[in-house]
Amino acid sequence: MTISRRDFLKASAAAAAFAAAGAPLLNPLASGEAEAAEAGIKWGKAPCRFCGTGCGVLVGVKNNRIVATKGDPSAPVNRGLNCIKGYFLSKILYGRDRLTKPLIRKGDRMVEASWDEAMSLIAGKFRESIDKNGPDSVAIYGSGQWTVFEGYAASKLFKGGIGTNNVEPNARLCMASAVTGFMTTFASDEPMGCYDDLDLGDTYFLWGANMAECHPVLFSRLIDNRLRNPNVKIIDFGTRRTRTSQMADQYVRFNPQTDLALLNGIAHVILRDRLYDETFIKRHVVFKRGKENIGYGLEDKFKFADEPKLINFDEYREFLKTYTPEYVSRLSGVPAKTIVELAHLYADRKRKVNSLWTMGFNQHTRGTWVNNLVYNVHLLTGKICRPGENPMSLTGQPSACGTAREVGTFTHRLPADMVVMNPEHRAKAEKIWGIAPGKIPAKPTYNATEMFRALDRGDIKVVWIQVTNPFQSLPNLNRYRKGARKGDGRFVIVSDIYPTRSTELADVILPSAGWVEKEGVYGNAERRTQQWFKLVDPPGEARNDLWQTMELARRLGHGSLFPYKYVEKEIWEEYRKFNEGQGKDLAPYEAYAKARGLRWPVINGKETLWRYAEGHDPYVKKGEGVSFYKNKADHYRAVIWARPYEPPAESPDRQYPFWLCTGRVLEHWHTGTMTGRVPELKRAYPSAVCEMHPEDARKLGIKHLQKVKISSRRGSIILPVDLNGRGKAEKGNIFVAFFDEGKLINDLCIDAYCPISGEPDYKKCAVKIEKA
Amino acid sequence: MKPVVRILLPAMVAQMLLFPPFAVAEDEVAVPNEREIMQSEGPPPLVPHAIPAPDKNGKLTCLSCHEDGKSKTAPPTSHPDRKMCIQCHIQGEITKTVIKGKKK
Repeated sequence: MTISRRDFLKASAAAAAFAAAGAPLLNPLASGEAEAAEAGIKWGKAPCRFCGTGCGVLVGVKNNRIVATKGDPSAPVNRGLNCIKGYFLSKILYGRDRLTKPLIRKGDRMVEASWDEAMSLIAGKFRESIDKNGPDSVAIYGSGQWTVFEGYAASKLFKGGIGTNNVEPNARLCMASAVTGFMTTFASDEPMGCYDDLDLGDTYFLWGANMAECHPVLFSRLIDNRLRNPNVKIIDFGTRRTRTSQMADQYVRFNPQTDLALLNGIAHVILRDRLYDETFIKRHVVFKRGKENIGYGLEDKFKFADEPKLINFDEYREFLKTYTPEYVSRLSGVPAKTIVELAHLYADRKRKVNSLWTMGFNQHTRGTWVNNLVYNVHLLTGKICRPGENPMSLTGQPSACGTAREVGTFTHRLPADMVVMNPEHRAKAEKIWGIAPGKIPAKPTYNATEMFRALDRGDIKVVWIQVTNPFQSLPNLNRYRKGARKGDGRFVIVSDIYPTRSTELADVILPSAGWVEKEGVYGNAERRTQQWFKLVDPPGEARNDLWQTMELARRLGHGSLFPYKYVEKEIWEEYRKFNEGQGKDLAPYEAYAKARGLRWPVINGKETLWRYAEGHDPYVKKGEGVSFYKNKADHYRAVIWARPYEPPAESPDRQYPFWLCTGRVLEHWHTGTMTGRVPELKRAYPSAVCEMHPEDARKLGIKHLQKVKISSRRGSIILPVDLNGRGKAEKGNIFVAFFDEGKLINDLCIDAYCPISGEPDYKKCAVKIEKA
Repeated sequence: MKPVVRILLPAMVAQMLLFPPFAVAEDEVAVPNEREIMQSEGPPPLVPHAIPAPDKNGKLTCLSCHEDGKSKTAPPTSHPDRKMCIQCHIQGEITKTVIKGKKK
């Protein structure tokens, strides 16, 4: 047998990767390990590829192929458990139609090309557009599934090299309101608490979050907690009865959009009945009120800037006067008595209270406000920054936190909570990046929706899409799909591992490496940064997105931005400089190779479980108790915001009498490009259905599984009605999952967004239903 | 052989000799514990029958047959504490029908 030098190097690198995964820690079952060794399977560690929970998995590799995965018993997030998607991880990279060669559009056909041809063409289009229309005519649209390295390289090339802030992630469509909520209340992004609160608390308010399907492993931690402790209560606020509602102790149905009023109603009762923590408020809180009637971002080039004003406690109390339980009950449909009871439960001194939410709050035309309002309740009652009681924003993508938010791959952001609008922040970034002062533009350009509006108008000519599928996931999809193919110099590049509804609109398709076919770092929802090594080679000529971005940089003359040998490690050490001393400190790269993730700030090798809390967060000085130390402008206090109820952009009327809500199901993840290629998952939930209330169906004369035409002002779709599905729609509401690439429900969604966060509302628009 | 099985098997064999089993005891012996289940390399078993709709309170009914070995046709779960069965066990190819009302 002969081994080439290249094979030898590859083999040694792989051996190092597995060794670094910490073999003694890998498997507590010695017998299992022995069996695995017999079968010739080698195990490495990685975070799961799917949601923001960040479960640890062990990946079994044989003959350069993933043959098995299992929950990592050493991973603190999931302790060996996975959800069904995680159990099928070994199959997600091996769909039959994997992209393995660059493809270039020739008329209606996509023709195979070499990497050199594809990259020359792409670099040429970038140069041409920049020369002719300026740097703001080119853009990169990435993802909360980008590794930290991929996001960092994209931001550095576009902001620091090309000189445009046209950098956006799909996380704008899912997490942006959480970011602006954190920034406006605490002046620093990401939660104070962590998943340990799921084990330590006893009262859990879920707001529009179907955790049983969308964060199953975290939900099972909640259920385990309840099994140990009969005092545990789970209250599910929702507009739809889900699997989560089935498992909750109480389900509270409310009318869409009235979460704003409910939270103000709860605050009203807390003040009225003097249930608040006066000492906490005096020491740690200021009150503010911003602009109202702020619009919905429906017009192109919509702009908004809030004007916050300080108010005092009495003015806040005055503001809440209208939100009596009776008034809120009329708006929300929740009985006044329930509102009072739940306010008392929130404030019960003997209870450790947590709030959990995801897209119900974030995909909301008042997403920032509703995030602010849930923090209000925790700040009023002082139930925050303590083990077992915290508000916790869950995330939907594996590195929405680690990459999109922490690296700052939004148009206005830079790493570590910095923004392009601030000259000191730009100067710091320019220094670390070693680029000329003044290179990073001071003005943010487009949020995700506006970026695709600009492509439709022709203001953006060249867009590179990486690790995401916008032409299935954008709202008001019709407009943006047409816009992408309008010609006139528009040029769309899509990097992916499979053909998608986005690659079909591309001028160039680049085959990418996926998940453990490359080295990566992801950051989950509890600030846990998790690293993995490359464990298998990508198929054919597929290549890492990081390499793709750096190759464009080289061809555009910005190669000097990436002078690395061990690219991932060196990017990490450079990126770490942004975070040092900012309350966001990260450990050296080697630490992550060994650990099952570490929660930042990591100081002297020690992770932080509860931010802003004395004894847990080293940034808080002795005797301070709690310090919101990132909010210097408000003397290190958090902000309670007076934010009113305002109606959604579109409500049902006589012509369009139903609410449409979209979302996810357990078996599929986002647009289903990976889960749809696992036969078992596909069979379990093959295609989208329309969940409807049986009484609504009876009135319309529609039977179970009969086909209906659902139409909004923007588009229509034909789907079978499910009256007996896993979720139960409330009267006047329908629900459709968005994973099905054959049924683009987002054609119907409205592209209204929160003026502060720029995040669209996928949960509310008006539709009509007819027999098809 | 799994350590648990190694200890349990002789005990079970002894028990079977003393008390000849009526139910299929062998199957029960082979059920590994939850930790081993989670560490097995394949995905959790798919459900080979249509998953019954939740009861009128919206609760799943899986455990009414699968909780213990009392039902002769339904394999018992190794982890009856986990109530959210369909988080891991999803609909597979339907090869069996659910036999109703066999419990108790």
